Amino acid sequence: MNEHETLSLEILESRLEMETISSQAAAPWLPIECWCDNK
Amino acid sequence: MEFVSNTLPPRIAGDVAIARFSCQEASEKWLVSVGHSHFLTDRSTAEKVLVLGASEAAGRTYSEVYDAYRKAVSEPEVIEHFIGWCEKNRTQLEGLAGAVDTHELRCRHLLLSASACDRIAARLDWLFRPSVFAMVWIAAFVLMVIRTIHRDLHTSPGNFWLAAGLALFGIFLHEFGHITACVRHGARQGGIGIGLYWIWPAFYADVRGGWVLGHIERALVSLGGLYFQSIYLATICAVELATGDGTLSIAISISTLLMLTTLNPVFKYDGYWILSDLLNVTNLHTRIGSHLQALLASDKVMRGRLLHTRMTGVAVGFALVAIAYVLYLLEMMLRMVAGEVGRLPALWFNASRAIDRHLPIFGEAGVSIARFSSTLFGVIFLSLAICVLGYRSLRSAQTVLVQP
Repeated sequence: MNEHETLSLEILESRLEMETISSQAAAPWLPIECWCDNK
Repeated sequence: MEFVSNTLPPRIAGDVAIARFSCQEASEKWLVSVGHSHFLTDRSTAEKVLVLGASEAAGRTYSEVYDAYRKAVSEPEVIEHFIGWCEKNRTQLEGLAGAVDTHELRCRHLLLSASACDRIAARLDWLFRPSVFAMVWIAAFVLMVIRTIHRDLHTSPGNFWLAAGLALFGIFLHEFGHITACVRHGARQGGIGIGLYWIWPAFYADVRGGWVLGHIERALVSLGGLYFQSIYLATICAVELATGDGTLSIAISISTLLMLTTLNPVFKYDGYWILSDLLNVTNLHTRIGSHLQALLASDKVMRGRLLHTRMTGVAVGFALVAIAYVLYLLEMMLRMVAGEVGRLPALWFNASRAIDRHLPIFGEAGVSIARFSSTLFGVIFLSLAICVLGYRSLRSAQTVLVQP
């Protein structure tokens, strides 16, 4: 057995390109009232 | 190799494709695509995986598969070596198609299939022609500048929820930007969906097939979302300038905030991919972690060498931004919780007084109870979000700095 007999594969991370639905990045689940107040 | 005379070679399920991969590494890298999973390896390994994964390889003997291998490559290994390699790595090879997807996006749910996205992307392809691409960016920028100059001309206060709906539609278009760029450059895409990333609900575009593209094309795929959202934003800006509608003004504010958030490279938003692609570095978070570990663990001579690499600038800058950003988020969230907790006694007092006075449950009493309940649930959810964010941040820091 030499070095070529070992399977060497680097898995690449999944390209899932996202954008959050919340406009308040820090607090997506703030109460409805707070959202309105903050606006 | 008599022991394998009655044994079939490892069978790799799923479509297998290989391609030369352009990256910063000194040694030549090859991309192996098995289904939705992608791997980097050397040329020799890639060629062996390809021949094992070919559809005609299924059910064939080692000698038949080896014949195909010998014809496909210029310098094939001897058959004993080939078979030894296959047998030693049989389990790993047969599991390639089922490689675990470690992306932190949880609870994924597909909203629009790949075939539907392909059809729509084919109609939007022209938006990525270089001349159109440049003109749209310029037009969007000019409109935003004009809008900033005339920002006090709104004639109506606006409706927040309608504006939020408009911004939500913008996010959906954003995902089409990624998909369209991916299709335009000939890569496979897997549709648009929704999921939960850390503590944030998010739309996503499955552009895993984008790994087959060059790094500039990949950067265009990553930028495609913001490009489409800019077209949408520019359109809203133009209508807002013409009508002075306050709802559109709020929608622009929300969309702008979303677009700035997605440029953040600390989490795996568009900014992370744009940075990775422009630097032409794969698995950027992991590499930054490894580099920081090496810097901390190495001796003086080695540290001196590492300090003078490009990755040191990227890693140190990235780490500082990440720490500052997470602290900012946690501080903001804690301040919000404190503020909301302070409101709870007064809301409870109003609700209990409305009940005592027998006010109608579908009137003032109901509204008071709803206000108190929504604030209480908000505090609970936000507290949980703080715990999750704090815990996951510490785990990430531990992974980077402690584990070998």
